[in-house]
Amino acid sequence: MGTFILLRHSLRRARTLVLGLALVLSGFQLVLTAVAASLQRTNAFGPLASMIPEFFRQFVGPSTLAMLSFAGIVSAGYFHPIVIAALLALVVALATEPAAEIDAGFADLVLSRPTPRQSVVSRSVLAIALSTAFVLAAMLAGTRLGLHLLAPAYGGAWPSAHLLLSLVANLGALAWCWAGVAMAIAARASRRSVAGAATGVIALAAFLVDYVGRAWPAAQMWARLSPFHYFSPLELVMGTSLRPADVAVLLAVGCGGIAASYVLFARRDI
Amino acid sequence: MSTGAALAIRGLTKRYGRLTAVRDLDLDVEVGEVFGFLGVNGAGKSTTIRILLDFVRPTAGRASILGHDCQRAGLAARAAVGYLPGELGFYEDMTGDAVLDVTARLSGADAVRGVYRRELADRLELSASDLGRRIRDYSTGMKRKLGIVQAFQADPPMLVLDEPTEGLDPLMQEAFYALLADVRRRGRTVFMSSHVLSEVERVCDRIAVIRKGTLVLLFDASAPPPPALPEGCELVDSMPTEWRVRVRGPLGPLLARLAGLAVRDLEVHEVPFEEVLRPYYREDTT
Repeated sequence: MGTFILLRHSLRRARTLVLGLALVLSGFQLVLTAVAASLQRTNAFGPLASMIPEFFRQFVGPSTLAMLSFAGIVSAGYFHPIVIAALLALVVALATEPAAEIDAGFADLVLSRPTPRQSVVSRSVLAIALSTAFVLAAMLAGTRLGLHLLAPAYGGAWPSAHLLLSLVANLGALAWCWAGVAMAIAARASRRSVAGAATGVIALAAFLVDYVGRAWPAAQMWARLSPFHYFSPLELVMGTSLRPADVAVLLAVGCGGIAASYVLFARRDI
Repeated sequence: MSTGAALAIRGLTKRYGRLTAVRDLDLDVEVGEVFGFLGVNGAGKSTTIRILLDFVRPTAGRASILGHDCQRAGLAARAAVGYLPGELGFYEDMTGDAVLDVTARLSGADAVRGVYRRELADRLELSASDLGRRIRDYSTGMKRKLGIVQAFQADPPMLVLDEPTEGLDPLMQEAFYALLADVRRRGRTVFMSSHVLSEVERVCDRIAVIRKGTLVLLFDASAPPPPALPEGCELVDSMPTEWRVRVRGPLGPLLARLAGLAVRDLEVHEVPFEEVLRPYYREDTT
């Protein structure tokens, strides 16, 4: 019971952030569809691809060509770094709410009542799941709306529903993974800013480890330690199916972090 | 640990590394008692209260509220408690009503009677428009009043109040003392911390003094019945260790009556300026 009272309270407080992000990201999907339709209309993909220097094409691999297609441009919103950063910022904000409540003193009002501590954690888990699902659904709706409104003539070039769902699932799993990490940190922290900053630094380090690992074979082994290693949207755009093992790793890290947050929050002094 | 007391503390100790915040504390508070927990800042009052509410886990010892162990049966213990924190943590963007609604639902919606909540707000002069405003627009005193309403609104069997009058003006302190007297009449138990001796002396039945985490003094502060007063004398206030009497006319008859009692101290004052001003201090005074 306490979980749902707190969930309602949290969603009410976060509604501007969640609705705003959903609006911006779904709008971004519409814009990307318009851009893709414009390039398709002028047959610009071929000339654009030929302008890329050969050494760069070899460096980044075949993904460049995949990106320079109607489906590639439309799909870019699901792995653009700014989109990933925005979505992760949302889940970190929601995941660090227990620390924020301790910081503000609101936890005293909540936990002085017959509210189990696990309700506070469960509330955050549900808030993250619902908010992330809502934002991803809004992005998907933006893409579908854009395709039907702005590119009805290029139906043959549209990214398949399977591809879009795979991209959404991949991005959602990545968000879940970092939500778990943020929750585990927030369960021990007394300040949201500390928990958020710590998660941000870890995410940045993990991103760089993966980035270096992809570009430098000697560092490839270390890249496996980064959750971003298991996030491969470009491969999906190139036609590879979503690897269940990769999704499982991301979900497992997220679930592990959440399980740790239940234990840590139950044991801590407030 | 069922002792029949409203609150029972046995050998309670809390250490933070080398610092011992509470040391081997033993305390019983009876049902229906108003108990004052006195100490300077950092004496261990708030740590003890936070252990009672299971915010903080004790290093050793145990505490129970109405027979429910505060740690092992924390939910049952906290179901019987209304808590006023020393530092109120309201989100600034919430309205007073929203705070009361959330806290009421967490207490169990059935536990909160709207009529009683309105009565509390009225007595503390929190209007409906005040409660509709965001907390960021509240003064320190208004936040404290809101805190008192949220603690009392479920009319719990036990109230745990941390520095309850901090930030209240003298009139609201009086209103709070009246509330306290009401809940005591209805058999509720109150455990309140303070660092103001005159306050706990006035409202509490018993007082414990804690220093550096150790209980150093525990005494009964309940008032003996006041004597029959001679003509021209009016009992203004009866406190556990003090009576206030208004005298119109000569002091002689009163002094003669007091001569047979074990009076420790006697102070004679002109009518305080505050009492003269009080009728003009209220908004509704014309």
